[in-house]
Amino acid sequence: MLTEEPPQKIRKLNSSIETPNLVKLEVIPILDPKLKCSEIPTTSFQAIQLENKRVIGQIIGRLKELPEEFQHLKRVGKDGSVLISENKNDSEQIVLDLGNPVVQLKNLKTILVPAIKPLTRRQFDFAKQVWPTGFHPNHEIERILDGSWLTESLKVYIIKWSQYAIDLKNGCISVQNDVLLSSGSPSTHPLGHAVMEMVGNLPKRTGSDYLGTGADVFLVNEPCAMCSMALVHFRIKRLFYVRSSKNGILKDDGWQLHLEPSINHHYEVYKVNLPENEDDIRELSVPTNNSLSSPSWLSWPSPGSSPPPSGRSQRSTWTDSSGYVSVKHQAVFINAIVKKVDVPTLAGIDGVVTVTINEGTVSVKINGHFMRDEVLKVEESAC
Amino acid sequence: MSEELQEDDRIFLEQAFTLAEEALNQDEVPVGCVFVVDGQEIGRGRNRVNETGDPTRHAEMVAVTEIWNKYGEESNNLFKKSVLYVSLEPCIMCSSAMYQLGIRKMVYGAENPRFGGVRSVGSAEKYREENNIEIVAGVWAERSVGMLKAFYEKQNPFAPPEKRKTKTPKSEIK
Repeated sequence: MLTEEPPQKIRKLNSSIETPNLVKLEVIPILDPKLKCSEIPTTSFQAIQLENKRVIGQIIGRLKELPEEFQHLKRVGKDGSVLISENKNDSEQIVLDLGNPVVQLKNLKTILVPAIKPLTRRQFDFAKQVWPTGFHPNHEIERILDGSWLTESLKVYIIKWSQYAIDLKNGCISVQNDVLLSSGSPSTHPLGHAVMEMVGNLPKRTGSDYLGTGADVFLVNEPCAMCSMALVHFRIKRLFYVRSSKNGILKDDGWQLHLEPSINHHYEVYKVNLPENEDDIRELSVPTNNSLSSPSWLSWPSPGSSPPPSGRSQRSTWTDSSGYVSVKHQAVFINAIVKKVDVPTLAGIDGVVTVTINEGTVSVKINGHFMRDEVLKVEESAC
Repeated sequence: MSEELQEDDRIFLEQAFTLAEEALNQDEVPVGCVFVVDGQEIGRGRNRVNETGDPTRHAEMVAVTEIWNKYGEESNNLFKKSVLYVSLEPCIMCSSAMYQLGIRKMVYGAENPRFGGVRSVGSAEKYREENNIEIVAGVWAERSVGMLKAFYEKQNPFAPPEKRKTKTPKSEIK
């Protein structure tokens, strides 16, 4: 089996030196808010200001270690003051117990210190302005935060497999070492979501391979709670999804199961915003002399793309009999329900309906004319 | 909680627990369940994760598939009328599935603080679902937890191999 490593390294060099941002692709990591904020909370603490710097060493030797929750703080500040305790009364007692004539109660002062250990370099840069603080960078998190994780070869990889999931019609695939592990598309089973089908389609594994351990999963619609938890059971490493969905629970305003602390396995989540290209615009041909009420009034141009199957999703309305037209945008599987297509204009002529979807905005053209006001509503797809 | 149970409830819950014991004897996580509509069982299941190598083959999912295979499209209506008897609080995946199927009522054994999807960790609100399933929780919880303990003791990797397959006597389970 070919390994990804060598070409990846070469490309990485190329991209950073010669051709930066070769591939247009936005991939948004859905991170713990605790990692995203640049500041961390501060709290007050008692410190003793020492005029004679030479006694600092003596004093520190006689002080007890800081409690567990303040282990991230350095003992001595920039001005040579020494942390004593969080509590004022305790601090006074500690200072008296030192019995050092140079160290006097009047030298005690209240200062601010970072209340928690910084998790990111940005938080560390903030924290150290407040008080000298320890920090152990997590390089993987730093690369995600500064964007350097998204190498050119990774972009190619993400686009390739996301497209694969899209071509499966709302599909889901798992990938290990750049090789397809398992795939699935929504079925008529009452719980036949793409993820459940993908997990169920993985043949029973033997030896050291256990389920989808370490796999990347590519999915068109953001998963519901059932599917998100199935991916926990499947032990994946990363999830990439293309579209937010109505019952999805991973996006920022949702429950965010992937950040739930009580669960024993966590995976990373990324939203993939695929670049706009010709494929994002699908043209629906309108054959001559066809009745509007017939579902075949609109037909998909490419072979293999048939009207959405009935069953699980009630939203996949094709057309209805009253002249309302529901078109499905293939690239992102969104329903645009278009009202009152101008029948006389279309009847008896060849017409073309074009649906373009860009960042949730739908534009519909019929015979090249914008039908903006005719778009009744755009339904978000469900997992 | 057990006081709320009718005779029918006891019978179906007993069946769920029997299925859980069957799972335990097959070295599966001991969870079993029965779906009931108007006092009649429509399907049952027990954990089959190890057997199938599919981590989603929890008791509830196995039962849903059985019902789907038996009743086809009609099962969607049946689910809406059904009561689920299950020996342990369903996990997040299975609970979310139950809210999506819109079942009527759920009667379950012990709460599951690690994965429980009805109240413990997950909840209908977190799934963006309507909280409209009647819940009877914590029924025969000790028996439910006893089986789980028996399972994890059996699976203890530090136990000598000859001990690991030892069946826990029924008296200890109950």
